[in-house]
Amino acid sequence: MAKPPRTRPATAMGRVCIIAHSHPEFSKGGGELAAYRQFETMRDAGRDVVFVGASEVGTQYAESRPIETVMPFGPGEYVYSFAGMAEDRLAWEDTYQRGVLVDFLAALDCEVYHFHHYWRLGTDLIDALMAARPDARFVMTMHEMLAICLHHGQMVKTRSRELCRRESPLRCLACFPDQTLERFAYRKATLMAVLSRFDTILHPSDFIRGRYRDWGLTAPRDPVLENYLGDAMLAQPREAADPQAMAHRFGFFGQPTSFKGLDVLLRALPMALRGNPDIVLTVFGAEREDVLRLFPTLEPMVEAAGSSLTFAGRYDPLDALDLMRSVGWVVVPSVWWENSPVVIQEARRAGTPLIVSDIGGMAEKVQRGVDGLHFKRAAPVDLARVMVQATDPELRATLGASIRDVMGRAEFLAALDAATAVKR
Amino acid sequence: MVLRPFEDGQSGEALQLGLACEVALQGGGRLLLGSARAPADAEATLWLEAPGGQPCPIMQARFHPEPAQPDSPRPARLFALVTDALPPGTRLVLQAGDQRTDIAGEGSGESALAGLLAAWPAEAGFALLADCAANPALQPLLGWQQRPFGGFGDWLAGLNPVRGRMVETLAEIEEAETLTSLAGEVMVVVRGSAAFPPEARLEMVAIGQRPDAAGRAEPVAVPLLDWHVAALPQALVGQARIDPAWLDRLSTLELVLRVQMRPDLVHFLRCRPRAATVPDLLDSICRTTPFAEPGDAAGAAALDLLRLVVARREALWAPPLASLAAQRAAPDAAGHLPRLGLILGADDPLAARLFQVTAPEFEGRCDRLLVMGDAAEAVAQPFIRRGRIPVTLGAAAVQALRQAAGRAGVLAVEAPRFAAAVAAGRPASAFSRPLGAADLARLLALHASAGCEPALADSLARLLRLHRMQPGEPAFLPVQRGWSSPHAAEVVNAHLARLWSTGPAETALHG
Repeated sequence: MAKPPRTRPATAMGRVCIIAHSHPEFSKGGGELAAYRQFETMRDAGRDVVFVGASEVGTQYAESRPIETVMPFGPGEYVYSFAGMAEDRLAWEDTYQRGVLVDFLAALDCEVYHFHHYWRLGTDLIDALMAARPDARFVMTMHEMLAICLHHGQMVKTRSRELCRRESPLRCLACFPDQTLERFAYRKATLMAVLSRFDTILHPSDFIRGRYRDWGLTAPRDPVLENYLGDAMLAQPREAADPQAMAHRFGFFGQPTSFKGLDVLLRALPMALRGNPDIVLTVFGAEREDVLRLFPTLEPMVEAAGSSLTFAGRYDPLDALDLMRSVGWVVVPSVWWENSPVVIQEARRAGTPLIVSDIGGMAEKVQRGVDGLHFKRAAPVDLARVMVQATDPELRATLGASIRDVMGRAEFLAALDAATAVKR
Repeated sequence: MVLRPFEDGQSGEALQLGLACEVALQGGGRLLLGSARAPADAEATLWLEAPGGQPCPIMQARFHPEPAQPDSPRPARLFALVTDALPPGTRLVLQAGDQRTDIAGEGSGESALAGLLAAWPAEAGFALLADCAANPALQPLLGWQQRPFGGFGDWLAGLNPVRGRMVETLAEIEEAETLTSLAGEVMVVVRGSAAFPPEARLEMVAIGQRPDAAGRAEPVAVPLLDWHVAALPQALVGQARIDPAWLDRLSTLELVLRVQMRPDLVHFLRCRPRAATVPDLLDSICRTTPFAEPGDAAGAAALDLLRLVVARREALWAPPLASLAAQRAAPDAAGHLPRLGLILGADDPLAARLFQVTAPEFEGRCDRLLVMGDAAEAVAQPFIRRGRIPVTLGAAAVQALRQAAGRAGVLAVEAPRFAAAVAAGRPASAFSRPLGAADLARLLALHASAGCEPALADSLARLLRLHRMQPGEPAFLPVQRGWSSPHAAEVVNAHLARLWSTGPAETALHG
């Protein structure tokens, strides 16, 4: 594929290629949203920037018909098929397709290659691109802990859902008894060998930086840089809500996966209702059927909650701030550590205080008594207690006034420039 | 040669002498096969008489009773005589008392040999085969007429073949397990499900084929360096050694067993031994058949024999291993030789990902790379694709390692240890110091004498473990396998541990 023309004059920074594990057009996870928002922000700031994202659609298509590995997807945007990757999407089985993508990326002639994630990109691809462009700077933004933990990068034990605080081959073997100690060693070494070579690793939270440091990733510069929420959301006004009207309204935002803790919230709701019958909970991001399909044992709780519980279905991320302003509290009850949840950033942007699990990225990003309240992770009783406490309009007013806004555009770009300017 | 009186012979009968076959041997000698009959009450003498009445020396003579014939009430003695030379006109003479008979020493040629051996009692064929192994002049008997095993072909075809280790046609014997090791050891264990009679005996002859100068398979009877037999309550155990130089040249190896259950009941079995590791070989002593009668005495006797065999092995192997270990401790010039990289334990295709991103670590240190392991092909691919250094894998890699002694310094890396070193940010720490000729000689000796797996790579990994061993660490990791009993496992593992740790202590500690 021909090298794309420079659409803007080169800045002092030179061309930057943002490579992400998905394009938000196809999925709306926090990682790809952060990557794409960085692309939009840099582009709108006049930077010479290219976005290359993995395409699930193209990959599925490739299973039945031939498709180009890399395809244009808009001005300065490209998507690629990862059909040639191994099942775990950490390496390529089809070395020809890998070569096509490496050649394409190398020919972009970028000064900085900024990866968002290594999943769906592959350690071998990164290694080959580094070899092809030894003069370029390489930056990686971490979005979860997949390198550390085979369990979807969650660092939650597979059998008990207990939190895992440190990786080691024997600990991992307890979660995955069908694996071997050698496989864990190969996996870690491969990822460590490649990640250690980055000039800069950006961590959206101090929590995740600590985890990667504990894991052994200490070679690259590793500043913490929060994901940027995007110009569109930053442009929206931040308005104070009526605490009297909002204090008893709670909202859950996100998909009902087993790690997001919606089951904890739904178990807490009946107990909270006994403490304050005025409480109402709205689940944004899922229908009732979606939730009961995943958590069939919760049906009695859902039935018992009656009109106090509403399922609002999926929502457009562009509507997130408005929806968050429609509730008095945003509850983030995740049972895994989280990194830097977009929901927390959005709630802070919206000015809606949060109730979050007291661990990891949630505890870091929601300062207790400033941005919201904490409850004991995976403990419905404690969540119910905090929800009842939160219905106090005075508390809601206090936290509604103190909750911090997110990082602004200029601050983000300056931090990004500083973080990506240096080659080791 | 004196023929003892025939026990069932009758007195006063005439002497009878017949020459059935005369075969020219290597170096001008002769093999004469025939039969002689003499009166029962007289001691008979058989000899060769050259022209002029001088005796012609008989180098070797064997006699066997002729099977009873319905039309011949007086069984004869079958004989097989070997001479160094047979001058023209030599007579074969049989004399008993004042009776004498003689015939010409020349008979029909080698074409009669195969038929004769097949018709004679199996004992005669076995004895002659054993003589072939002991006497190089007789070796051509196995190759005549361009047929498999020459004159013994028909005779061998009539023996009981053993498939695997099961013996299906003999009531008293259930298994005949035969194994060989790299060091040339042969283990024969004949098992029954009930107690063997005390008079049970076991003998063995090894035969095989080796390529001659033209590449044609040449049948041979294989000489044994030694042969020890022990009787267990329900088994006969034979242990032999073949010169490893012989073993290396053989393309096939078979064992012919003579199992005498009682004086009047002898079985001949033809077996193809299984290549075995040392633990396999030794554990076979203690193994029993599935239908064996349980008994503490049998188990204790087998363990006693195992200890005896183990002691015999240690007496044989400990001195050369100690010597090699001492040489290893001396500085050598391996550091100045071409560098041969070796990746061991490449058993998981997932390791290919690691080598894909760390290939320069090897390309900067090695001129050539060997890869060994179940997933060697996958692991080698990143290096092959990059094309910076030649890569050899599989059997060719093993051969290259054997040939490397003195010509290359081997930088060995165990794949899992390399992974750990990379994860710790110290990939260089996974490379061994260059192994030289003394290391490789020690490796080959340890692999032959105490190898725990068929693959040389396992022995090399164990040797590297010895080199990096720290105080308090075990020198030898016990072999995990389906042992016949925990007691056998303990004896064999302790034996292997002693062999692996033979040598100066500082060798292990400062490798």
